[in-house]
Amino acid sequence: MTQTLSPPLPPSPEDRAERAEHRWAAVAVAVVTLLVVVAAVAGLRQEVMPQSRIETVNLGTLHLGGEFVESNLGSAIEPDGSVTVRAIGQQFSFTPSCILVPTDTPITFRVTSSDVVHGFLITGTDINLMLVPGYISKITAHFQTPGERYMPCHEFCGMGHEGMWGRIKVVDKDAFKQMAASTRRLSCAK
Amino acid sequence: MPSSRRLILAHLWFAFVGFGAALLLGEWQMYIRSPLHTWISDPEWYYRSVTAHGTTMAYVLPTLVAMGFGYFVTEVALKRPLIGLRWAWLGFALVALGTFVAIIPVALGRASVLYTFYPPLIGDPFYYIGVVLVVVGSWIWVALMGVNMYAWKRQNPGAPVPFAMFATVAGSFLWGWTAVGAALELLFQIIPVALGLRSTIDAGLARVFFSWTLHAIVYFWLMPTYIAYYTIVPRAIGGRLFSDAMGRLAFVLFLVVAMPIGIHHLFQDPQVGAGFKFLQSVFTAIVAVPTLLTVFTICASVEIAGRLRGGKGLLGWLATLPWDNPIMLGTAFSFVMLGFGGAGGLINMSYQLDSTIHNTQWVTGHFHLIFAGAIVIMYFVIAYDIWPHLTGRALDSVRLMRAQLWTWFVGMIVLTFPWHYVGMLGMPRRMAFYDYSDPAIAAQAAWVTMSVIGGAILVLSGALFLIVLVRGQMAARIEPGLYRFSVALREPRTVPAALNGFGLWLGLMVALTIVNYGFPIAHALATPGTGVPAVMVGVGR
Amino acid sequence: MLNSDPPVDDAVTSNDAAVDATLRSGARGAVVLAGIGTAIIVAIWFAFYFLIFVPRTGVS
Repeated sequence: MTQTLSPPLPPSPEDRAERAEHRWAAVAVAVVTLLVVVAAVAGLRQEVMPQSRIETVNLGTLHLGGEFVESNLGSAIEPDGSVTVRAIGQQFSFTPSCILVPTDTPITFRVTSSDVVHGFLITGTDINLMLVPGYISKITAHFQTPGERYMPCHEFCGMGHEGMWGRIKVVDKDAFKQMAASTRRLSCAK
Repeated sequence: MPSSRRLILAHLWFAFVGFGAALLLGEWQMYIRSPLHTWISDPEWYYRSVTAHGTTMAYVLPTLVAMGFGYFVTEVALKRPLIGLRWAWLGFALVALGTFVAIIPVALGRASVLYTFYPPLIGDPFYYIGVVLVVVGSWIWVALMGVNMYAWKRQNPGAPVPFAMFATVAGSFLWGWTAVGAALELLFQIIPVALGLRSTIDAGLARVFFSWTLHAIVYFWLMPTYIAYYTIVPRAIGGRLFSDAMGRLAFVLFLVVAMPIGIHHLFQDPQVGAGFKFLQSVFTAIVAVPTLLTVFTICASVEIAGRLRGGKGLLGWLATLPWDNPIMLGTAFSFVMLGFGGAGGLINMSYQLDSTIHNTQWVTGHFHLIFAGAIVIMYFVIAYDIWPHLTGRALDSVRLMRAQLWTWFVGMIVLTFPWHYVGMLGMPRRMAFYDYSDPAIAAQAAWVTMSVIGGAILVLSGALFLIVLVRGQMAARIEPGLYRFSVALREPRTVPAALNGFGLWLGLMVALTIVNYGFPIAHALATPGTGVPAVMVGVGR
Repeated sequence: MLNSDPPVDDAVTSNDAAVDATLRSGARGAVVLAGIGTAIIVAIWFAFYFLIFVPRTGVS
């Protein structure tokens, strides 16, 4: 049996409105998805990933023993040639107050706070961390050119917060190796 | 006129007077840390001011505006007196009392901890107790919004809840749930330490609890603005709301997805792992969708008005819009600031992009543009629109209103655009002093000065706003007539249950909170030894 | 309330008919306006990505 189909009615204004809405909603979802995908891919490619594991540290014994005793702070060359920088933020300075790192080397920063929440920012880079007492903040970096940068605390940490500026000095890889020959932990703090 | 108009006026006057005082503090702060002023000699004054400014602008102003406007909507949209007027007054009393209980220790220098609290810095316990009182007072409002809506539904079975009320209740439920995070932090962590009952606190866990509140609170702030977009603007400009259904959908999406995304404030924190940071980044992207839907729906509603006024062509209708109407002007300004502020927000949420500007002045510039700009300008618009219905007097300083909105917009752009820029240059946040003579920082000086000028324009605008309202209290008596909300293109006769009630969405909201926050909180609770000594702050403590 | 009612047009017999007439364009103006706005926002995002984010990740 054949059916005679009447010609379709032209879309009513309500239908056109609804279609416009739905098309826009699809556009909105597509735009947002695009940004998420680009950001995710960027994160993986640029390797600027926040730490995946949570590490804690005992604040009560921070200065007495373990990784963050004062003699262990500063830049240390690992057996595989990479450099680990250990530092502490406290009211109202960083220790070491000037961090020394080489160019062209994988660098791991391991930083914590010995009192309140501080920030850790190397200006002009995206090395940007929060230091939360009781937790260790970790990030990897790779510097290409020598130079000196400011390293301010960017989180309110008390009345002296505005004075909490550290420095980081990037020196040539070979110069760094020479300096490392004579001392266990390097810094440019004077 | 609504029978609870004195209640509503009390809320709004308290809010706007507090706003005026906090605005002056804000400009003082801008000035004191700019190149225009030398070393302040005691930085504690600065942090005291920042605490007072932030507490008032974040916890007092928007809460009272939402509450007052909410009561207004309840009476006008449901067309009957507010149920629970006495409870509402109790709620207001708690908010007012809480404000004073909190602000007095701050003013005395005993709680310069900033509105974000930041344990293990701990201030005077009454600061935190005051904030808790404000929240409790607002929770009474949340309950009343629900009670009134459900009472109406019982009396009007099957009928669509009037859109303005539906959106208002969505906003109130969102606030009710999102406030829980900060409440947990305050009640179980901070206040016991501030009272001396405990001496250590897990700062990482506290930050996770606070982040629960910290993002969705801005959606709570945004609710009156978006409600105005949908329910006031189309009516005011002689148009129609393009879609009632899309509007309801946007608000339920906010209710569900605005909440469990606060960890994007903790992207650079060590107490949450990368997995949950990424998950919440994705959900933050999802919450951009209802805003994009809103932008389209409102543009379409405005287009209807423009074409009804004779506008032709693809964009020619823009010219025929009633630009002399302060509501049209304010809305356009709001959308421009929403666009730029939204772009900044999308950048902040994009995981690693945030590491470029986290905790720099970019962040402060961003939230002033979006909150103080796009959102608060519509608070002014709402006040202008409903004032005669609260006072029973004329509000006809239309030119002053337009001047006030223009100065708010221009001032906000001049304040915040350079502010974003110095953040890109790496200027850290929340410092009472910067050494602009240092070559590394000198480049920021001129831009910071520009922001100070923007702030001065805002102070002028704030004064104009208060002048308009005061004039409105003293003007000739009139009969304001029946207040109307906008009418949709197709006023729904029925609405699907999912867009007429909140059971499903509340369930989703709670479930999503558990998924997104359950593990990070549990992990922090279960990890031993992360309690750290409290660091007491304040004069003579 | 601050209301600007549209001018009355004799050719149109009712407000609803006027609205229907405008809808025949299918909200194209809104699509263009919202589309331009969204495009600007996305452009700002990509500008930040290429001009600020990428160069900084190169530094470290």
